[in-house]
Amino acid sequence: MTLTASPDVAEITDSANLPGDTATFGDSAAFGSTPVSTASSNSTLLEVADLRTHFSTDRGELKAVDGVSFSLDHGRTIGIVGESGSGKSVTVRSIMNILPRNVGLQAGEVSFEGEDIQNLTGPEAKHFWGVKMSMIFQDPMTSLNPVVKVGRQITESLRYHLKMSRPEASARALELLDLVGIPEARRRLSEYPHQLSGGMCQRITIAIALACHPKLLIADEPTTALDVTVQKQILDLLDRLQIDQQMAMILITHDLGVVAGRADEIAVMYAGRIVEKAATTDLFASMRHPYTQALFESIPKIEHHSHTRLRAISGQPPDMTDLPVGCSFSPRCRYAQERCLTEKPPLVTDPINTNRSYACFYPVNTPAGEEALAVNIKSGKSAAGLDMSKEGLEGDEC
Amino acid sequence: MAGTGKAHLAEFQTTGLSGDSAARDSAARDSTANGTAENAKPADDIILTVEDLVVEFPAAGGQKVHAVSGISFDVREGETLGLVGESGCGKSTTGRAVMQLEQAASGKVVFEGTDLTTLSGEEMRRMRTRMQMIFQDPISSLNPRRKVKDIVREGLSIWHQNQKGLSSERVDDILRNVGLSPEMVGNRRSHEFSGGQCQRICVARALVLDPKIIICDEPVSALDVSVQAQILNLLEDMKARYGLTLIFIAHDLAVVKNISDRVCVMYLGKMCEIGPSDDLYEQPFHPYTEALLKSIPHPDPTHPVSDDALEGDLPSPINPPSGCRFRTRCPKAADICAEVEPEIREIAPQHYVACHFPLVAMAE
Repeated sequence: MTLTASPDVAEITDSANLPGDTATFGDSAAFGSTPVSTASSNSTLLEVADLRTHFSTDRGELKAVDGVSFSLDHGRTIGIVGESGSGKSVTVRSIMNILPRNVGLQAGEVSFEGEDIQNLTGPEAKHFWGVKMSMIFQDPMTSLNPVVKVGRQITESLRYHLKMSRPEASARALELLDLVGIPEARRRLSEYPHQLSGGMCQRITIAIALACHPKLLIADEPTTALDVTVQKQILDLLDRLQIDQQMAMILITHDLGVVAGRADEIAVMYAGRIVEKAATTDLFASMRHPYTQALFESIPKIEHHSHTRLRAISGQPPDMTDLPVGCSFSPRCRYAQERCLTEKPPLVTDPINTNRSYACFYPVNTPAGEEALAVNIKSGKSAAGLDMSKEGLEGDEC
Repeated sequence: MAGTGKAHLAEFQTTGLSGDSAARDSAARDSTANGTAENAKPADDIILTVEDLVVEFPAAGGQKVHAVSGISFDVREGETLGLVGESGCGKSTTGRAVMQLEQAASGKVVFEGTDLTTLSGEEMRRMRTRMQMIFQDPISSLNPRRKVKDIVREGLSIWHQNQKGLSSERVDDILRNVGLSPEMVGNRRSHEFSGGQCQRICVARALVLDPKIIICDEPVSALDVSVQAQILNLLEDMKARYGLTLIFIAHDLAVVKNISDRVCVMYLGKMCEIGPSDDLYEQPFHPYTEALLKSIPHPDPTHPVSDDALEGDLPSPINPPSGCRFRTRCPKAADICAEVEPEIREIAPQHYVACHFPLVAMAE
């Protein structure tokens, strides 16, 4: 990472007139430009550096995750936002090491409390999952075993990891159900998942995930399958539990609204890479990457009057087996210049606010970005041929 | 058409089929006469009337799932009516029952003066040229073995068999209008397209027979945010271009507000509230609407996360609560809510609510 990133930095500072120097890179130990082992301070819980996960498919190599780096401190929440296929789920599955078999390449470093967890053996991993790091999934109905009673699914990890006796484990299971707000806990223990609603099942999976007090909870679209009122219940619950248990969380979602109120920091992913990363308030105050801004603008807002025209993002997300040579977003980007078509912009730290970074040569709300946009508007189309006059109703090139 | 609609309305009021709805109609007229609502239109341009619609499904042990229990609303020509609610509230069943894809247990669906529930299969088949539907999952609603142009053309080949040349032209036209290039997509099959493109094909298929009304059942729920905006814009454009009336069913409140002129909030087979979208979101009167609005996560970190969440889950539609169906989760529920079912009444111009204790406007 250090080796490949540094020349890019020099280059980007030259040409895009960013006054920063390479020292801004990797500040806050976020981007792995310093070796992982020294970067992990006392407060850093998880450190991911240059994570790459590629799958071999019939259509060629699919670069699901292509150089993702971030770090997470104890008790903090990072939100990973992106559309389907952007690689957010594969990122956390790579961290958990629960990938399907057709992985072609898995590279990069993942360290948890300073310890490399990328190469855990099976038995080691068993004592790691659930104890140090847990995960909950999108569909609570399918992540529970349909033929095993809820009680046994909760006590399983208690008996295995904490070596509790049966009665101890049952008592703890009752406490856990209480904790996640399930009424009539005793009766629920002897029920099967199909007897419970989606929201209840998600509470059960949370209870299972939290049974052994993990330090990190990975929540992969935990509320996407749920109704909006239940979504609020679950997010509130996660908030409360996180504070009680002082646990860090990776919250994955496609909904900027979900992370806005819940995450300390947000990483926006597009086509397997982080394109922008910033503290939540900074990100929403001013977006730098054209994709982040476009994503935000394409969401219908409840405050707007009905029939407010949405600013849709043109085109479709890219084919992950055949990504553009340059910036993956360039074909849909209103800011795209010639350079974006030939070079992949690296993730660089903002020269002014070192807590934020973005992968764009012509960032939004910067002189370079404004100029690029003005050039494109003047010529009527972007360097990639995007018609600047249309928004959202252009022909799809298939 | 307008004439028959009017005659039909008159018939309602004289025969008093449903006091509730007749009162509602006359109230609607009153308010339009007063010109209180800015988007008010004369009541006789009503294109679709749903009257006390009840849909039930059989459940185990001779029980019934009360999917839709007495829904009444009107849809005016050229408007978009949004149906919103959580899963299991009966919004999709309502849409399907309007299309006669579900058999109504009782009630009427009157489209352009004809009660659809009384039509024979053949009569309904003919009627469906005027009514179309777009479904949630665009990929599974297209036949994977047929070419796109054949899918879009099918309606034309059934109804206008003797105009072959004309129909190709029309198909190409429609494909272009929904943002697809006929040369490039015409001879391909649905698996070659993304979800957003498939939904465009579905829109094209729905438009080809020049229908009057399109029922969109969660048309953007399966799509990514960036593509969702494209399809919402497309529906707005097509509505303007082809003079459509839409019933837009979705669970996302912001999406529904964006596209709808009026919004109807449903809960467990009942209507809670119906009103002009801006008014309804500005001042919800039903506690359920308020709870829904408070649950929406805002894409703005400075927006405070509301503290009070709606508790519990949706009750079973097999044994719905007596009285007001929302009372088991309602913060304002009192004894009367269990005993008497609240009738829907006008609380502000064009704005109707079914609640014993509607939320009072802040100003008052």
